[in-house]
Amino acid sequence: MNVPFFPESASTGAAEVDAIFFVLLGLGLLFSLGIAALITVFVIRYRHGNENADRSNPINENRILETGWIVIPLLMGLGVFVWASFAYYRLEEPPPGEMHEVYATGKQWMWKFQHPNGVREINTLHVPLGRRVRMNMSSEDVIHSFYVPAFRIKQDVLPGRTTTVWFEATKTGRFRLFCAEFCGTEHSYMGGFVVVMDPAEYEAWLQTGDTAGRTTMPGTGVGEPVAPDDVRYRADPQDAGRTDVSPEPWLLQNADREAPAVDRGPVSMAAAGAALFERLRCVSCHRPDSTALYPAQGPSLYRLFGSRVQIGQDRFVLADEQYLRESIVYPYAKLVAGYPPIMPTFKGQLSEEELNQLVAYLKSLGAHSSAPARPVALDSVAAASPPPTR
Amino acid sequence: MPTLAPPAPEDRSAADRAATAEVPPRPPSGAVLAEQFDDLDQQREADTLGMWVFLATEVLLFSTLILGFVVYRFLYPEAWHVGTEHTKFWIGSANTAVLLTSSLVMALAVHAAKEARWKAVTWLLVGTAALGALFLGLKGLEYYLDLHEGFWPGAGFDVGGPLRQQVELFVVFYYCMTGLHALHMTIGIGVVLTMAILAHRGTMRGHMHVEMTGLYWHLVDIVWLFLYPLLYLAGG
Amino acid sequence: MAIPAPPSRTRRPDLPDTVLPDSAARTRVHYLNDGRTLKSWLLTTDHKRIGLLYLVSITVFFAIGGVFATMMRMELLTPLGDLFTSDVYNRLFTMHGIVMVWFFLIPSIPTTLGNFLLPLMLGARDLAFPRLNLASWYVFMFGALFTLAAVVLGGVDTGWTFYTPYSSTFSTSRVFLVTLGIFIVGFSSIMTGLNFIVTVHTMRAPGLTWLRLPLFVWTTYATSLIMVLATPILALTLLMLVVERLFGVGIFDPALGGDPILFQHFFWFYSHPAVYIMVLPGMGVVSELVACFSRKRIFGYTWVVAATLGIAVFGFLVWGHHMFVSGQSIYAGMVFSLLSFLVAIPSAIKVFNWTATLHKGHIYLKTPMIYALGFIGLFTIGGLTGLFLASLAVDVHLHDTYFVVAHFHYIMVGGTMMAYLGGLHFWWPKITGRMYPEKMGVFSALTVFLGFNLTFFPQFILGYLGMPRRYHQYPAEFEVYHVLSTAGASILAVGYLLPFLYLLWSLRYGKPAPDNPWRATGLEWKTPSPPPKHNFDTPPVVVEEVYDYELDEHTDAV
Repeated sequence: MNVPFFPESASTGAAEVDAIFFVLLGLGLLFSLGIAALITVFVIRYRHGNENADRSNPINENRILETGWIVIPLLMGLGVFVWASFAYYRLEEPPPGEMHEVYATGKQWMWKFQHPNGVREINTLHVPLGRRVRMNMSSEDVIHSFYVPAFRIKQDVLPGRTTTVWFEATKTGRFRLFCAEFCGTEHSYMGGFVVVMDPAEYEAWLQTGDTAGRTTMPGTGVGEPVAPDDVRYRADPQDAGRTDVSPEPWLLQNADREAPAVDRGPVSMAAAGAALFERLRCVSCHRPDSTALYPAQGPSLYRLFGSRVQIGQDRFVLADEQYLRESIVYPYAKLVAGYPPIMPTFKGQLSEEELNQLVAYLKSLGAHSSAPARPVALDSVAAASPPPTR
Repeated sequence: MPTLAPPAPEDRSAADRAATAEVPPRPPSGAVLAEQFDDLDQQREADTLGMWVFLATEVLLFSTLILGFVVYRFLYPEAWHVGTEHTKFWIGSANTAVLLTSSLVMALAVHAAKEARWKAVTWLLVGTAALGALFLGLKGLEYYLDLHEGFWPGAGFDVGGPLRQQVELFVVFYYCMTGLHALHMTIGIGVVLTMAILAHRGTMRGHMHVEMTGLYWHLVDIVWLFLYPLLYLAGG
Repeated sequence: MAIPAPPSRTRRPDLPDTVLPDSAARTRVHYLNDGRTLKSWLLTTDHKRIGLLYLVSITVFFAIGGVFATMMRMELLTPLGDLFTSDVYNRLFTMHGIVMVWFFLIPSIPTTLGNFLLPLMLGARDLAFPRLNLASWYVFMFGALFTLAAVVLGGVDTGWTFYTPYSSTFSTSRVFLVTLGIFIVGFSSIMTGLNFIVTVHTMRAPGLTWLRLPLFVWTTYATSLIMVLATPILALTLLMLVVERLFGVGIFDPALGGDPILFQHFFWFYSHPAVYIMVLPGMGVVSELVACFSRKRIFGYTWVVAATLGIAVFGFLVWGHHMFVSGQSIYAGMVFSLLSFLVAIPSAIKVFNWTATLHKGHIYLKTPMIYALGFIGLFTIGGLTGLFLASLAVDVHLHDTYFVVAHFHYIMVGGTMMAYLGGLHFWWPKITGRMYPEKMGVFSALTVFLGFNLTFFPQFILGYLGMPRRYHQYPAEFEVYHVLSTAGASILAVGYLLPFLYLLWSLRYGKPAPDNPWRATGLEWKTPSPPPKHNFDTPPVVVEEVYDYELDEHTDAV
C-alpha cells in the first residue's frame, strides 16, 4: 500500500516552505523531547518511594533561569519569524517580469478557469512548466480558497473582489487542487487537478483546442464555442466618422471588428474584454484623447493598471486588479478626483467572467510601471488578432 | 454616611454570623448587608466594581458597532456623507441637549440621595425619567419622519441615487446604533422610575442603588455623545 | 478590603486529618444535604450548588458534542462519503464545534471548578453576587435551549466560525436559532466573568494578598477579564449577522456592499481570546496539581502570574493570524505573525516552570498528577505546532488543513480536557465527600492519553500532506491516517466513559473523603468535605505564603 508521508514539492516556492517547516520541526522536537525527557527523569528520580534522592536545597525561584528560558526561545522564534516572513513575501509578491495570467472563478462547487487566449476549463487547470503563472481569482457566491498542496500555495477567493496568487511549477504532472475554505454542501467535491505541461506541449494544447479537460456546461456558456456575434458588435453609427481615436491599444476592438466574421475559436480574454468595453459604451466617456476643448467625461484608462490614482485630497489608491474591478462594480467607491459621479454601476449586469475579461482588457492597455512593458495579455491579444487592416 | 464598623474577623463566632444572616443589621442609612459580605464597606466596594465592569462590557458592545460604522465610513465616504446629510440634524442636536440635561438632573439625584433627602431624590429621578422619555419621543419622531422619507433599508430603498446600496448600509448602521441605544434608554428609564418609587415609599436602602443607576445613566448618555457626531455631524 | 497580615513565616499548624466515619458524614449538615428538594437546588444561590448545576449541564453537552464527533470519525473511516450525505456531515462538524466550544469548553472549568472553588480558595462565604451567579446558569440554559432546538430542527452547516456570506445569505440551515443561542450564552459568560472579577478583588480573606493567591485564582481572574472584554464583541457581531439574515441587508455581504473580511476580523477578535478563555483555567488547575503532587511551591510563582496576565493581554492582539490567506495585506500578516510568536512565550514560561517544579520534589503519581503531566506534554506539542501556524510562509500551506485541526485539539482536548478531568479528580473528594477509585482513575487517565495521541497525531501528517479540513470525502491516499485517527477516537471514547461511570459510582460507594486527602495547601482544604453551606465554620485568616508545602510531608490518606 502506498502511504504518503510527505507531500510532493512541485513549485519554486515549495522548497523554502519545507525548509522552514523542517527547522520548526527540529526546534519543536528539541523542546518537546527535552521537556518529556526532563519530566521522565524527574518523575523517576523524585518519585514517592525513592527516599534516597537528593532533595536538599530545592530552588523555588531563579531569575537567571527564567530569563534564559524566555530569551533563548524568543530569539529562536524571532529568527523563524523573520525567515518565514521573507519567504511569505516572496510567496505573495510576484517577482517583476512576465506573468502568464490565468483567470479563475470559484462558484459552489466548481473552479472555472480561463486562459488569456480564451480557452476555458473546469476543475482542471493546465499550466506550463517553468513559467510564472498568476491566478486572478474571484468568487460568484461565497468565499472559496484556491489550494494546491504540491505548490504550497493557498489564497482565499472572495465574492466582490479579485485576489491573486502566483506560482511557478517545477515538475510536470497532475497535482491535486482543493477548495480550502468551507463553502457549503459539496465543499469537499470542489477540487480537481492542476496539470503541469512542458511549455511547448502547453502551447499546442492551447492552440489546437484540445478539449481534454474542457468540460461543456450547457446553458452556462462554459466550454461552449463562443459565437462571434456574442463578442463582436457593430460600431455605433455615431462613432462611425470618428478619427480621433488613439492609434494603439484602443484600436484593438476595431481590429476585432474588422476581422473576418469567422469563428477563430476561443476569443482571447482581452479581446472579449475589448468587445465588452465597446458594447457597454465605456469608451464614450473614457476617451483617451481628452483635450481642453473636448474633455472626456471619464478619466483615461490608458496605462492605468499599476498606477497610483488620486481619489481625494490626500488619498491615493493603487490601481490593481481589485481596484479596476471595484471601480466597474461600484464606480463611486473610489472615484477619481475631479470627475463627477456620473458612471452607471455595472453591478449585477456582468458575470464574474465578464468582469475578468474587462479587467484583462484594461490590463492590456499597458501597465504604469515600465518593467513589464507589454503585459502578456496584450501579447496574446496581438498574436490572436489579425493585424489591423486600416 | 454612617456604616457599621467592620468587626474584627477573629471576634466573630459562627453563631454570630448565623444571627447576622437571619436578621440583617440595619444601620441608620438603611443599607442591608447581604450574607456573603463581611461588612458594608466590602459590599459597597463590590457593588461599585461590579457596576464598572458591567459598564466596560457595555462600552465594548457599542464600540463594536461604532468600529464597523467607522470602517465603512472609510470605505464609502461619499455614501456616508449622503447618509449624514439625511439624518435630522436638529432632532439629533436637541436630543443631545436633552440627554445632557438629564445627566445633570441624575447627578443631582445622586447627590441628594447621599444626603438622604428622599423627597428631592424622588422628584429628581422623575425629572430624569421624563427627560429620557422626551429623548425617546424625539427619537420616535425622527424615526417616523425617516420612514416617511423611505429612509429604511429594504427592497424599496432609494436614497442616494447611484450610491443607493452604500447609503443603505449607512441606514442599517443608523438603525442598529440608535436602536441599541434606545433600548438602553428604555431600560434606564424603567430602572430610574423604579428607584423613584422606592425613594417615594421610603424603602430605599442607602444611596448605592441610586448611585449605580446614575452610573448607568451617564454611560448611556456618553454613548450618545459618540453616536451624535458620527451620525449627524461627521459627513459635513 | 483585604487586611494584609504581616508576612510571617510561621508554619501552617497541622490540620486534624481525620477520616469521618461514614455515618458522621451523613449526619453532618453540609451544602449537599442542606435542603434536598428540587426547588432547593433550582433556586439555590450557593456557588457550590450552582457549580454542580453547571457540571451536570456541561456533561450533557460534552456527551452531545462527543456523539457528533463519533459520527464524524465513523464517516471519515473511508474516503467516500458513504455513511452520511454531505449535508449531514457538514451539520455534524458544525454542531460538534459549536457545542464543544460554547457549551462545553468555554464554560467548562470556570463555571464548574471555578464556581465551586473560587470563594473557597479566597476564604469567602460566596461569590460577590450569588443571585447573578444563579441567573448566569439560567441564561446559559436558556441559550442552550435555542441551540438544542436548532439541533432538533436540523442543525447548522456553516462551520462554528459562521463565515459570511455563506452564513448570512447562502446557508438554508438554522443559523438564526443557533446564533441567537450563542448570543444568549455570551451573556452568561459575561455574568460569570464579572462576578469572578469582583469576588477576587473584594472578597479575599484577611491576609490573602494578591501574591498569595493560588494560581488557579489568578488564571480564573485572567480568564474572567477576557470573558468580560471579548464576549460583547461576539454578541454584537452575531447580532449584526442575525440582522443581516433577517432583513436581507448587507452588513457583511459583498453582493450588498458589505465586507466579509470585516466579519472575520470581528469574529476572531473574540474567538482568539476565547481560546485563552478555554485554556487558561486549565493552566491554573495544572499549577495546583503539580505543586501538590510534587510537594513543592510552584517554581517561579511570580513569573507564572506575570505569564498568565501576559497571555490575557497579548491574546487580544493576535486575531489576524487566522486570516493570513484571506486577502489581508501582507504587512498586517507580518505584524500578527510577530505578535503570535510573542504570545507563545508566556505559555513556554509556564511549561518550563511546571517542569522545574518537579525538580527535587516528592512526586506522587496519583490520577490528577497523571492528567497534569499529560497536560504538560500535550499542551507543549499543541503550543509548538502553533508556531508552525504563526510562521507566515508555512501557514499559507497549513491554513485550513488537518494540521490546524490537530493543533487546536492538542490545546483544547489535550490541554483543557486533561486539566478539567485532572481537576475534577483532585477536588472530587471536596465536592462530593467521596474518594474516587484510584486504580480506575490511573487506568482511564492513561487510556485518554493514549487514545488522544492516536486520534490526533496522524492529523498533523494529514495536514502537511494537504488534507483540507471540513471535508466529507477525501482522496484515497489519506485513508490510512483517517483509519488510525478513528481507531484512536474509539479508545478516547472509552477513556472518557470510564470516569463518567466510576465517578457516578463513587457518589454512593466511594470511600468517604477526609477533609484534606492530599494534604494540599489552599483554603479550600481547611474546611470539611463536603463544605458546609457557608464554606467555613470559622472565617479563615491567611498567615502563610502560597503553596507552603513541606517536602517531608507525605500524602498517605489514600
